[in-house]
Amino acid sequence: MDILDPARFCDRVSGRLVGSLTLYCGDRHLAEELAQEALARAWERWPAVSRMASPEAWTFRTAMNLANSGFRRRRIERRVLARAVGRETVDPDDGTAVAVRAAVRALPPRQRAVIVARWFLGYGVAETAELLGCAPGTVKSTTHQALARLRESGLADADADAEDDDDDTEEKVR
Amino acid sequence: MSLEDTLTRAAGPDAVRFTADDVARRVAGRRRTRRRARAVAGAAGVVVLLGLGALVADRRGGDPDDVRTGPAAGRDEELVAAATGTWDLRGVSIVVGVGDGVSLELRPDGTLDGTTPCGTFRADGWTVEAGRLVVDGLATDSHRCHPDPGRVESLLLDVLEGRPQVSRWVDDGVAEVAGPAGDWTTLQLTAPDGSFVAFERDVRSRGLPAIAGEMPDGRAWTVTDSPEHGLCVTLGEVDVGCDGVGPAIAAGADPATPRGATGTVGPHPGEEAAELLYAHLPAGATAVAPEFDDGRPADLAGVVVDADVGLWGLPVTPGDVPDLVRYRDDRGRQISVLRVGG
Repeated sequence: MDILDPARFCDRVSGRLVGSLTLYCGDRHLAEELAQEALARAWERWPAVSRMASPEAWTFRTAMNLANSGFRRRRIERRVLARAVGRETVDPDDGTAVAVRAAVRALPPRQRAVIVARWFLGYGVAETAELLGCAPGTVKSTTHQALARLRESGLADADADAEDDDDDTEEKVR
Repeated sequence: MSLEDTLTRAAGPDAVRFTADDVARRVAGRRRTRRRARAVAGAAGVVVLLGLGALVADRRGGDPDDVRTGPAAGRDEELVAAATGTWDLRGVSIVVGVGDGVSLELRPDGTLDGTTPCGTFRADGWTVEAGRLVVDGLATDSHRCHPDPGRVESLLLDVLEGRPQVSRWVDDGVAEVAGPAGDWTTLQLTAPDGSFVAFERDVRSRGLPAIAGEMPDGRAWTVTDSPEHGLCVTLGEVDVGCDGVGPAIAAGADPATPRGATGTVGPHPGEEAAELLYAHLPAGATAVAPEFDDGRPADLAGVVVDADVGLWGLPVTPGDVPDLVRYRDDRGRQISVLRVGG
């Protein structure tokens, strides 16, 4: 990886990080706050984080941890709400985007993380397993379950998870 | 449209409303806050315990016990008694929401974290004097705006003048167990005007002396002093174990001998380990100073020292573990030096 400093890392990954967290938690403002907090933690530990196989995955994982920690998340949500005072409150996104986020948000956390990691971040089964700290088989079964739920919402077609059955080692490439 | 395209569209634009400079400012604010917090942690811990009860009492307009038994419309007295009967206020964080987008977190380490409509701020200490919250060393890390410290303090004092009447328990009064990142339980009292008081604690340490902190990646760690098993540690979702299961220190060793706990809790090979140094505090000690044999001091980011509970913990970089710990009192005088592992 040719990343030299944390500032360049922030510039490079912030868009994808916010996007993935928007899908994960369903709220763009909250996603930006979580992303900044996770990036700040990566920055503080940059000598160690920069040596990791995937600093972006570590940062995403950290943001997920923050989002999953209910109390800390509520604290951040309050911060976001406080900052929203006097700001445009109408969701600028179209109805479809809001509906998609709602469908993803309705998934259990692990299924949600799998969907975001594989179909937004473009991670393969092995990378996703590393990200979530579980076995590749768990990723596959979770993927099937998540896609089944999304099909009910009309978001995924029948072929979406076929590659897991065809090739156990195939890595998804965005 | 493929699922990838659907999600990409739903995720919104690539452009974000913050820059690397904003993140850098946030990092600088966190470091500044840590330095200040370390400077006051020992003494402030005691102040917090005293002030905490006084603050709650003041907000209820009476004795600290009022928060448990005082009259309030519509709440379940039996549930209140059951919930608070096992609630140890030591070692918990308290969040006070005072309306108009303002909330304050009063932490066991004596620091204060809060929000105002203008942004976030942190302070390195707080006390209750004559029924009013007095905040020391305000530092805002908001990139949205930069209110002067005096104005923020004035705002805090103004909003705390009102006494929110606790009228109901949110979530039907059932203590809410948050996500798996630490089993934090939050108990929250909310008034009709939206103001609230919330107590946070780790359910696994209920009723036992315990401390808790946060690892750099956001997961929680806890150290609990069990009369049966000695010091017990959790790192994130991993229960690392107790002294009594695998002797962390030699039998008969000084209880303040620093232990090291390692958990493979992360996602990436080689980086997955999380390591925590922890121990009892010797009598009179209020601060710890871990260092290496070459005299290099350890980074104290994330350290938790609770003189009242008598425990301390410090997340450290795996493989870069300090060799010894110097214990100091509140005047900086060295009390003892103990090697890690005894």
